[in-house]
Amino acid sequence: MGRRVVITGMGVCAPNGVGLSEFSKALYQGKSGIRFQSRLKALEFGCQIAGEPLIKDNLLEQYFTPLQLRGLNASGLVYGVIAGKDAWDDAGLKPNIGKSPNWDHGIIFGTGMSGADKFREAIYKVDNKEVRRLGSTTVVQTMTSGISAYLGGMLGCGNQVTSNSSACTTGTESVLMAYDRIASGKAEVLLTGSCSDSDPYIWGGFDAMRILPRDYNDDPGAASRPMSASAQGFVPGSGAGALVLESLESAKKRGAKIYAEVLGGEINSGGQVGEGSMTAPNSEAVQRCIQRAVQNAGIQPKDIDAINGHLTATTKDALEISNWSKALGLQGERFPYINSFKGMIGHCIAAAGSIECVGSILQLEEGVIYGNINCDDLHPRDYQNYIHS
Amino acid sequence: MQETEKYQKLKDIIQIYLPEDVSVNDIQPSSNFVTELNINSANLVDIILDVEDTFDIRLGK
Repeated sequence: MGRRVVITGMGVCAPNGVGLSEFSKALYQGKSGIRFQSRLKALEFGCQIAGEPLIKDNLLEQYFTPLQLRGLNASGLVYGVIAGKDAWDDAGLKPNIGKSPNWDHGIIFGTGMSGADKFREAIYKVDNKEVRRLGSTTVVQTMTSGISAYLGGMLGCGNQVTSNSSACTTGTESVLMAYDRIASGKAEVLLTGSCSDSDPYIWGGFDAMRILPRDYNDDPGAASRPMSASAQGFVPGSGAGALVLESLESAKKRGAKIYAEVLGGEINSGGQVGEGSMTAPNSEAVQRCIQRAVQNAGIQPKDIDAINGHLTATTKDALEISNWSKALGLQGERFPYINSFKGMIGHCIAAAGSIECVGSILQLEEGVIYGNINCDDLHPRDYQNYIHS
Repeated sequence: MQETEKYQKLKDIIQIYLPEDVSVNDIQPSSNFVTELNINSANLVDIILDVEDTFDIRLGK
């Protein structure tokens, strides 16, 4: 058993709300952040809708210096900085502006690919033999660890500063990595979370695989349909979620507000064997992961009031539900409430896990369980065996 | 373009790269960007690009 770890600050840039209060209100009201994207139409995408946080220009000036804003063309980085600085501030922490790094403070903040738009600019310049005109910020905007480097510099952190990258798992994985590091006594405060670009170059590959819905370009709000019989695929999204994880000792010493305690967790891989592939789950792995998480947390399945599912609105939603049910040994009336925020925000790819962790913890803060949208036609085949609607 | 106008444009370019504790009034024709104006040396390449764009010139490799 390691040290106890708590969550003392949060920040979020979600398609349906920027900042904790806006996001919480949107989830409560079932407000969709999925909108028509003229850029995707112009590029002749099959799916021309997406979830993209709406960032006002004057908001950027509060987070970036005029110099940092020059040539900044990495949307994920922008979302990550806004969410990250908000979380730090929410935790009652100040940026370290002293001469010495703060050895107890670090960053584990993940992403998939950073700054695809910036990278595109760079490729055009390089191919045009203008490599000397790339400027000094191409590297930090396009490297995966750009977001952790950016935040680490803004906050003066001297502990581990890194970015993890593991597709849709990235955000939740970052929280677990931070939990492990603090529990084992290697850090006191870690800013963790993840971000993902709003970008046709990120989303295009998914459109090519024909796993995005194509029939909702005129009705974006109805497109993302987790657990629905008429689900057509996931709606691409983007944004960032950030959480400050801290040792209980440190939080108590500072008199910080404590949102929640991280009791435990588990991560594994389906090995891309059996029924599993890079994208499809291996049920044995999923059930093992759930059971070990419950075990690590030192709780019983019956203690669980609510589950926030991955539930992306593909045909695998039914399998996810059955895996939860089997792993927990709970079904019908005894199965906990389950929801998916993806009906409102889409699948924010690398940012999904962290945004949804923030939303889940806001439920504890507000004392509510946010509802699902677009699943009035609950998938009949599997769900009725496991859950009550 | 007059020399004074060029100098003013150059100061406008440099201003954005100055750290908070250095004022635009500290810029002198003989100032060293890094040792006297405390400009981050990584930004020198950006200043060159700004000069090229502002004066529509190329400073070579």
